[in-house]
Formats: sequence, C-alpha cells, structure tokens
Amino acid sequence: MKHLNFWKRFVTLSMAMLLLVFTAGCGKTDGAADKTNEGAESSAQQIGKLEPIPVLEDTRPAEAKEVTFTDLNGTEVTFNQNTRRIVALSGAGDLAAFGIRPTAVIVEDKVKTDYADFFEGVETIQNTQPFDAEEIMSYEPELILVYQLMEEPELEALRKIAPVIPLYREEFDFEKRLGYIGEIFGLQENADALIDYAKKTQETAIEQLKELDLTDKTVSMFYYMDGISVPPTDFWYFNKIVYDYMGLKMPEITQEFLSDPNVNPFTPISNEKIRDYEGDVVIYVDIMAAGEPQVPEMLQSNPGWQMLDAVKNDKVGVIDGMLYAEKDVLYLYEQYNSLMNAFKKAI
Amino acid sequence: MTFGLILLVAASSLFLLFGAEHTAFADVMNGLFHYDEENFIHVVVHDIRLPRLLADIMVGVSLAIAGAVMQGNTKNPMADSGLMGISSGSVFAILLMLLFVPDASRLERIGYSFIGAAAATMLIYGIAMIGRGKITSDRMVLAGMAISTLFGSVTTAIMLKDGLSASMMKYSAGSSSNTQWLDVTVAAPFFIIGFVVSILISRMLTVLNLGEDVSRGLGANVKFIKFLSTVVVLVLSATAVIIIGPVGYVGLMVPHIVRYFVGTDYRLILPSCAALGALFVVVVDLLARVLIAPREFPIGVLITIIGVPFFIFISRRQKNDSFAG
Amino acid sequence: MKHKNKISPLKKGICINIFLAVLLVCIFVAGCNVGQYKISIGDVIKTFLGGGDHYCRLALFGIRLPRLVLSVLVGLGMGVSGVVMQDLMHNDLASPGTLGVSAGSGLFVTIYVALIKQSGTNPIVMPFLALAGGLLSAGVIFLLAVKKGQRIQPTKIIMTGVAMNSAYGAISMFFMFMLDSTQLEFLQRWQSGELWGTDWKYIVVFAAWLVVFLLMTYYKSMTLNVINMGYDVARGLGVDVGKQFIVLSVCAVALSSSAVAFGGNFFFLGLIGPHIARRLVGTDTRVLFPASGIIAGIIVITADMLVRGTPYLANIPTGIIISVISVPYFLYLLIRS
Repeated sequence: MKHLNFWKRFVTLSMAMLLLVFTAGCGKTDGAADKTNEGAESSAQQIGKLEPIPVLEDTRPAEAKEVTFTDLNGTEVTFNQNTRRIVALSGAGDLAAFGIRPTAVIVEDKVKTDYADFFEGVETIQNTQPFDAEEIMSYEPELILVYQLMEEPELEALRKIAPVIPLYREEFDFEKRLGYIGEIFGLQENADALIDYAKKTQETAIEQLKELDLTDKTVSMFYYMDGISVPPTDFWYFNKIVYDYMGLKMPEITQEFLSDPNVNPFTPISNEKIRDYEGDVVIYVDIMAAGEPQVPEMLQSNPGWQMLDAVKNDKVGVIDGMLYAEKDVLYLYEQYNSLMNAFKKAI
Repeated sequence: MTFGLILLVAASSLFLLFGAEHTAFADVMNGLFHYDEENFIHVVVHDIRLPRLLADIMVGVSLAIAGAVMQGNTKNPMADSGLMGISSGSVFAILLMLLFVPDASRLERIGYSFIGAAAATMLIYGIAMIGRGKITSDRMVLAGMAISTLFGSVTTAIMLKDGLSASMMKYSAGSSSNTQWLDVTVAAPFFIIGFVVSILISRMLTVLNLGEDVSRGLGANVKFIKFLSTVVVLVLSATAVIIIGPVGYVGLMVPHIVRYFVGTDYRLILPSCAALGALFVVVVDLLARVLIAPREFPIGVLITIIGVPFFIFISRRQKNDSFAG
Repeated sequence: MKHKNKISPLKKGICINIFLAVLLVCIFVAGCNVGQYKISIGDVIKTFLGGGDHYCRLALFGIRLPRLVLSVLVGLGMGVSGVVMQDLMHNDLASPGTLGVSAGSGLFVTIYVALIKQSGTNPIVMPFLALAGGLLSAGVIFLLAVKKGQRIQPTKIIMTGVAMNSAYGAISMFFMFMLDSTQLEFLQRWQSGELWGTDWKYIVVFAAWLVVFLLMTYYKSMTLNVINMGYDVARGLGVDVGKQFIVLSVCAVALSSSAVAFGGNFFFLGLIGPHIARRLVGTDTRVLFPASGIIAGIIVITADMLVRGTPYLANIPTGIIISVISVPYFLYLLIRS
C-alpha cells in the first residue's frame, strides 16, 4: 500500500510539473509581448529639459580624396576620406550620430530597431570576436574602423584588406572621442555640434539628478547571475555617471569588495552578507533584459535579497545594463533618462 | 553507520552556526524554533542556511547511493553518475532555457533541468541496452562519454554564438549557494522515492552481487532488479543535478570508503553511504561557505580538488580487489 | 570486392590510397571555393595562375589555403595517431580522445594560458607543452592501468582513460575560473576544436614536427603489424614488445598532441578516421596509415567547409561539427560491438 502511494505521488507530481512547465512557458510569451509595449511607453517618459540627439547629415563630397592621418597609436594611415564603404568594428553609435552610414557595423539588433533611422541601409556584421576576415572582405571596404585595444596580429590581418583606423572606445571625454572622428572624416562641424550636445545633456541631466536630494547618500548597484554581485569598473558607464559625475559614494564595504584582487566580474556575494552591502539607494542592473528591465524572479525569491530594506519598501530602481556597455553619444539621452527614472523610483 | 549519523548531526549544527554572517548559538535555536521573519538572523538561519543544509544532505545521500547502486549493478567499481554525463543533459536544457525563456521562473528552471537530466540518462541507458549482448559497464561509460560530448559540444556552440559564457560557467561548476525552500520541496518527493526504493532493493542487490547465475539460482528476478536499480539511479542523480548542478566524485568516493568498513552487504552499504555522503557534502559546503567569506567557492570545484587524488588512489588500489569481478 | 582473390590486399590498399588522395585533392580544391567572400571558380583558377585582384589573392592565399593545409595536417596527425593507439591496445575504441591523451595536452595548455595570461601565441612553446601534457597523461593512465608483472589489459587502459578525461575536464574547469572573458572564450573555442593556428609560421612548425614523427611511425609500421597479431605472437617473433610499445606510444602521443596544440581538441577524429580506413584497406598498417590520415583530413576539411560556407554556422569551432557528426557514428560502433 505504501508503495502504491509513492508511485501515485510520483506520477501525479511529474504530471503536475510537466503541466506547470507548459502553462508557465505559454504565460511567459504573452507576458513578454506586454512588456515591450510598456517599455516603449516608459522610454517616452523623459526628463523635462533633456533634448534628443540632433539629426546630422554626412556633408562629405562624393569624389575620392586621399589623405594621410595619424591615428591614436601614432601610426600613419593613408585612405580615402570621403569613402562611404566603411566597415566599423567599433563606434557604431558615434558614427551614426555623425550622420555617417557605414556599409556594415557591429550593433545589437535591439539598438538597430530602436534607432532605425540612424542605421538605415547599414548591415550588421555577423561574426565578431573573432571577426571573419572573409566576411569583412565581402563588404569590400575602403576603410576599416576598429576598437582601441585591438591586438597587433588582428590589426595586421585587417590592414591587408583595407586601411585600418582604431577609434577611442574606452575614452569618456566626448571632446576627444568625437573630435577624433571629426578629424578622420573632415567633419569638424558635426563633431562640434555633437560635443556641444553631449556637454549640455550631461550637465542638464546631472543637475536634475542632483535635485533629487541625493546629497550624502550612498548608492549601491547590484546585478545577478547565479548569485548577487556588484558590477565592477567603469566598463559599465553607469558607474562613471553615478560615482564620478554625480559624485555619489558607494558603501565602504562595497569599495573593499571591489578592490580585492580576487574578485572577478560576477563573483557572488554570500546571500547572508548581502544586506551589509545595501546603500541608501539601491539600483538593480538587469544585464539580460529582453524587454523592459526588471528584477528576475530568481532574485525576487532570494531570501537575502528580500531582507534588503529597499526591497521591503519596494524602492529598487531598475536599469538595463547593456544600455551602458557603450559610451557612444547616440545612447547618451536614453542612458541618462533611464538612470533618472531609476533614481526617482529608488528614493 | 551510527557513527556517521552522529558526525552528520554535529556537522549540520556547525553548518547552521557558521557562515558569512556571524550568528550565536541562541540565535540559531531561535531561528529554528521561534522563527520571526522580521529578524534578519532568523532569516539567515531559517531561509538561507537550513534549506541549503537540507539540499546538501539530499545531494550527498542521492549521489552516494546512486554511485553504490550503479557500481553494484554494473560491477564496475569506477562507475559514478557524475562521470557518466547525466549532468550534461541538464546543463544543455538550462542553456536552451536561458536562450528561449531567459526570465523563466525558478520552478521552470528545475523542471527543465530535470527533463534534460532524464533525457540524457535515457539516451545513455538506451544505447547501452540496444546493442547486442548484455549491458556492460564499459559500454555504459563509453555511451555516457559520447552523449556528454555531444551535449557538451552543442552547448559550447550555442554559448559562443550567443555570448552566454559567464552565466553558464557558473552553472556548469555546480553550486548550492542559491538553494531555497522551493528547490527543497520540489526535489524532496523524488529524493524520498529514490531513497526508499533503494533501501527496499538493497537485499536483492547483495544477492545480485554474488553473480548473475548464483542469484538466478537463488530465485531472484535479475532483470527486474536491474531495471528497478536503473530507475533509482536515474531519479537520484537527477535529483542531485537539479539541486546543485553537476557534481562528480561523491558517488565514487563514498561507496568505496563505506565498502572498506562495512563489507559487501548492501543492506548495510546503502544506509552507511547515505550517512557518509551527506556528511561529506555538508562538510565540503561548510568549507566552501566560510573559507573565503563573504565570497564563496563553487562546491563542485572544491569536491573535484578532493576527488581527483582520491580517484587516482582508488583506481591504483582496486586492481587488487576481487570485487571488480 | 570480387577481385579480392586476384589482387593482393596490399596492392588493393595502395589503389584505394591513391583514390583517397585524389579525393582529398578534389575536396581541397573545392575548399578553395568556399567562404564568406564570394569568388567565382573562374577567378579562383585565375588567381592560382598568378592573376586575380587584391581581394581574391588575399582570400585564397591569406585565409583559405593556410586553413586548408592546417586541416589536412591535423587530420594526418590524428588519423595516424589513432591507428597506432588502436593497434597497440587491440581495441577499436582507443584514440587520443578516448584515452584522455588529448585532454591531458589540453590541460597543460589551459594552465599555460591561465598562468601566463596570454592567449598562447608562441608557436614553439605550444606543441612542446601539449606533448608534455599528453605524455604525462599517457604515463599516468599507463601507471594506473598496468600492473607490474601483469599483461597489458587494453580495456582497463581505456576505462581509466575515460575516467581521467573527466578528471582533466574538472581540473581545467578550476583554472578556467581564473581567466577573464577573452581568455575564457579563447580556451572554450580551443577546447572544442578550433583551427586557430592558421598562420604560415605556425603551419611550418607544425608540418616539420609532423614529418619527423610520421616518418618514425611509418618506419615502425611492420613492427606494429606484428604487435597487432597479439602480444604473444609478437614476442614469439622476437619483438621486444615492451620497448616497441613505449616507442610507438610516444610517437602516437607526439602526433596527436601537435594536432591538439595547433588545431584544438578534435575528440573523436582519431577514432573514426582509422575505423573507416580499416574497412576500406584492411589492417596492414603500411596502407592503413596513409588511408587513415587522409580520411581524417577529408573529415576535417569537409567539416571546416561547412563552417566557412554556411552563414549560420560561421564562427563555430570546427571540432563541434566533427563531434556532432561523429558521435552518432561512435554510438553505432558501440551498439554493434
């Protein structure tokens, strides 16, 4: 009899589980559709004085013009300054803002649809890291733009195809970043307009963020990947904005954690300790957002996370982490906007 | 075995007492018996450590028993569910989930993991069974290797294509750090079924171990026992995989040590394996939690560090044993 | 097959080998025409004859040829190494992959990349490291599975190899935690078998290494034939089995580990190449060696053509395609055996 019960339970349970998985799976698809709509609405909500990026034209003449240019590594490159046949392995957002429409760029599909006008007629490079030389060749480029830290053997392989110029990728100073691109293409006017825009946007946004009464408050950022952790380094542009431009502090213990040499990205903090890392303001960074960024269910049900005061009072601001992976001027407006919304929620 | 149980209780208390957050003995007692969900220390003990402890015990018991049964069943002293590629199916299923339903709930995740583990096991046993002749341990190990290579390569391909490396790395290392009550309650029924059935068939396994002809002569239904023990191994290994991810070597080490002390009677071997397996995993996880707090070692890696030398030691030793048959 | 009685197996083997070689050349030429950058067949021929524009020449000589040559070399190394191991063990399931020798080579390279923190770009160091790792793991397996004064038990060696495989996997997993994401990706690609050494300077080192050990192995082919008849028979014929066993093992490990070092870990290649070859030409190693090497080469080139030619598969390590193709074949063998 005892046996029979167990088997019954086993069968019922497994059936129930299968059913659950199915129904939950179906439910999720519907949910996802709703979320994208919400996303569109919330990004329409904006900070009063911020202006969207100006739409610039590529004013270069059509005829070829050979120039010699000294790039950021001090290497001299001779190329056709007025070429339209550009392949960009870096800086897609900056180039788009300039009005330049390369033949192919590396860009996320999501970004490409969000900024459809800026990427009209631009192909997406399929193979990145490592790139496929033949694919790049198939775009028949006259100029290849790459990221600053590309290693010499890779540069060498690309130079055989076409002239190669590295762009600033890790640089925060828009004057340097955009001025450099302006120099490459002889588009100084566009560069000036963009630098001006970037400065204004940053200043206005940071002023407004400061009005939120954040003085002397500590801010903690969390992200989750099979364990709660703190996103390190300025690779994440929000770190630069929050801790540098806005001058806010992170909790001391977080500083200690990040300065430990054994801490790699995603090194999880014990669930028992996570409460100690809570600052006055808590922001969750969703790095796997499919639509509107959110705190994943895996984290919501985590007892350590549930013990945070911010979670108990529903005061967690949420941002889409991948939005801050590039520092291109094109995304600046969206970056400050969503950070602003997150802070409003978190206070 | 009694000795093992006493040690287990002692280790469990230590497990509840120590951790990244400092807790006093009184707090632990209160957390267990006068649980107050507003009190942080109580939450730590009751919602973080206790489910994790139970999960570790279940994993230890499951892996050790699955290993012992598998070794008895296949007469291969090196058999171990962790070495057989069952977990590769589960990792693969989780990857597919991350890809298509990235915001899947915890329960779904457990479900996917289980389905993957079950699929891999069935493939391995299926292949070992279709062939001509009997299921030999060698064939099963090789089939397991092939299946896990297949799952593993497709997993890597998708990972590289979609840049999920970091997230999957964590999963494929095995860790119990985020165990919650939900995991424990979902896994418990499977665990209990597997455990009870394995104890029930322990007598038959002892007989089987005397050799198939002998056991037939003693009136045992060899086919039925083999089938039943196969199911037990599947259920128990899958339980362990869904709780903690892929962890090898427990099922290899524990039965070996146990056999050394209690001999060949499975009625004794299985309960002792359960006690020792639980003890081992609990102790290792305790170390994983406190050694570098507030960070944590993935327990799978820690077990491997202990497991590999042990493995080399016994594979050197076991040639002298007649047990291999 | 009807002609079997008239022609000696050796001659038949040579004929098949010639046929295979021609097939390899055909596939090689076909391989020149596959890639993301579209070149018409006419242009390919023109480029080979010295014409063609800048892009065509670059695509052919700079990208496709080195990769094709590397594919053939890797195939040769793995195929021949697999034959030696299977004959030594008297077991069809032996191969650099299943015995854990490749994994041992892999482990050493993992540790090298993890500790030196550079993506293994030194062409001279890599094969030696891989060889050291391969030899060490072969030694460990041998030590564990062979007992003094006892006969060599091939099955035991294989089972130990399989188990050691997972042990190596676990150890490299431990080291992988020390890597940043770029190194991690390099290693993941490498471990799943990517033809990464597609630079002429690597290929030259690799080719020289292969030639030395291939010649040595071929020189020993008669000895291997005798050993294959059984250890006792060989002993009866005056072969010093112990010594020859070690020499041949070292050759096999050297061949496979150089292939692992430059081409990445092709798990089942060293198992399937010899298998198909044995069905075609029989067991005489004098014809089996080239046949196995060529067949393995054809497999690598074909898999690599799939990778380079199909946009969706582009950028996936070639070894993954090989695994996906060869696992069913392996399972088929397992079921039949």
